[in-house]
Amino acid sequence: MAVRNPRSIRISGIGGQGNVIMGIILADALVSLGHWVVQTQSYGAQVRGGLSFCDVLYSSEPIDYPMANQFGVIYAMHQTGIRAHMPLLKMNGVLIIDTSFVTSIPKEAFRVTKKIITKPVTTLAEQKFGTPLPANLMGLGIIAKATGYVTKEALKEAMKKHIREKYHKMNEEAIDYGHSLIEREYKIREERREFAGQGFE
Amino acid sequence: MHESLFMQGDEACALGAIKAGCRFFAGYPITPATEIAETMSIELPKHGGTFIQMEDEIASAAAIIGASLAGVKSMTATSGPGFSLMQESIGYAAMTETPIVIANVQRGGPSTGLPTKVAQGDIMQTRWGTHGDHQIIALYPSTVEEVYKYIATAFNYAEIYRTPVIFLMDEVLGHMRESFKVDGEAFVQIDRASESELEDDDIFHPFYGDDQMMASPLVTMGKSRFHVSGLVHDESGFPIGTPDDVGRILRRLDHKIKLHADEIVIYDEYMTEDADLLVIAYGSTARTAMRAVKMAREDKINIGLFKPITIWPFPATRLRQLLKRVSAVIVAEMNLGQIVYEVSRLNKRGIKLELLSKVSGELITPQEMLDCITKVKSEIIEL
Repeated sequence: MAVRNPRSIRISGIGGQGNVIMGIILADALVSLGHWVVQTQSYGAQVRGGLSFCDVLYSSEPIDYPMANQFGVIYAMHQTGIRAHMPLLKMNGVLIIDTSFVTSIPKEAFRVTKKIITKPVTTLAEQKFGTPLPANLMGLGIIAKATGYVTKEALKEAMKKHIREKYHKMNEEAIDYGHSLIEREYKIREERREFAGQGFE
Repeated sequence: MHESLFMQGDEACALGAIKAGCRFFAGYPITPATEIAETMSIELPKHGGTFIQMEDEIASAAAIIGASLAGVKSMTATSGPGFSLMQESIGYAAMTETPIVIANVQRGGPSTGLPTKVAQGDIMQTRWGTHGDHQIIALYPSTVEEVYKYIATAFNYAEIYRTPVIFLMDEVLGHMRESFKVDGEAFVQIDRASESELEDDDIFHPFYGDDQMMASPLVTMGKSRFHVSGLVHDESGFPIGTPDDVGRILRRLDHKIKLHADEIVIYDEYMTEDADLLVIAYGSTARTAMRAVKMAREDKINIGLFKPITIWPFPATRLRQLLKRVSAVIVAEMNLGQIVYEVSRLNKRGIKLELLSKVSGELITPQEMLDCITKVKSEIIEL
């Protein structure tokens, strides 16, 4: 009986960036693709600011322990989060960084993985849509293309369940735009050994 | 037919309750139970139900007792501080045999404590929180699917046994979103007897106990009239003080649950058939335990998991059987040790009993539990 850990994605940022809704939409899309999914979140009492993150775990079988201590994919939306969460990245995991708010990438990251994607997502959102609001949906498009975990179509359907109708069109475009920013899909190895990827192994 | 659902534990609690026939919710929002009230305020009116935000938890608990006596299945939801305020009404509901459901999404620490952190500190308060000898039913699921399923059981138990039922949850379970499949047809709902079943000139004895010590089912209101009092009362509901009657009535209240405990208890077991070691865990901790047991089995440790879902009455009969077979038992809980007292009193053979407790506001991790299992295993090896 092999104990298999679920695949794990952490979306890390600060309150107000929309990372929890991002995780909910991603989780919903994964459910529609037939996976067992658990989504958890952590945030402070304030509406804006403060470290906030959202975890999505999925598996082909029911998930027992609902947390992960390491993540195959980390989507870092803010400098506050990347310091705290980068050490939780699995060896050779995918690290996606919104360079609009992340000013410096910790050096250790380069020892853990080569799969580091940097895009000024929020800035691009402002340029294309005139507002930073759809930056998180662009992020989902990026995750979809870079990991191959979900399809654009599943994300769009899931988005419609959680976002008001008048924003559907803009967010659909945002998913497409994010998707188009990435050239290739990165292979994420099903885990072999489990230990923190600090770079000293 | 199986349909696939994806929702938060708190939402599952509210939607499951509506499915079970709940049509009245009075409550006061409190983290981490707020989403139950929130979902109820949106969904109840769509089903012809009523949602009221009360001034506090004392009034909330009183309001659902009133609504339930008036014939409507009712619930409230709260967390530790609110649950403390509700204790007086829980006793009143127990005494007046009023079916109500109280969801308590536990948070950490005494007093205002840790609102957004996970803990399981209200286990003994659930049992003994209100004064005076009384029995209580408490259920504590560990997945969102179980929340959706067992909230209906909570309503059914409230109706069958005419008692307050405490539906325990914790912060992780309340705030976590999870996918699950439900079998829509496997759903049983216990309804109130209709008042039309009473003859026009019948006197309804709301507190008449049958030979099984069970109270007569509560009827929907309208035609019947009866007296309700928190004082010790006879079958008609009026206060009495004759010693023989008082003893008889209080014993019936106790026995109606005690004698039916084996019908009330629900539990899950995992790999207990050949287990030499036993982990007892409930709520979110049981999920950690499930993983830890799988990991320990990989290490060739014969271990099993016993997960009580009915916390009160405690599933003693089954646990006694298991304790006869195993050589050590680990109780894992996110408090400083509560259920461990129940296990300890059942541990007649005096086998090794280890408490794995964590109160830092985080889940016990599978690795911590595995370490504990390995330690206990190494201590019981006979050379």
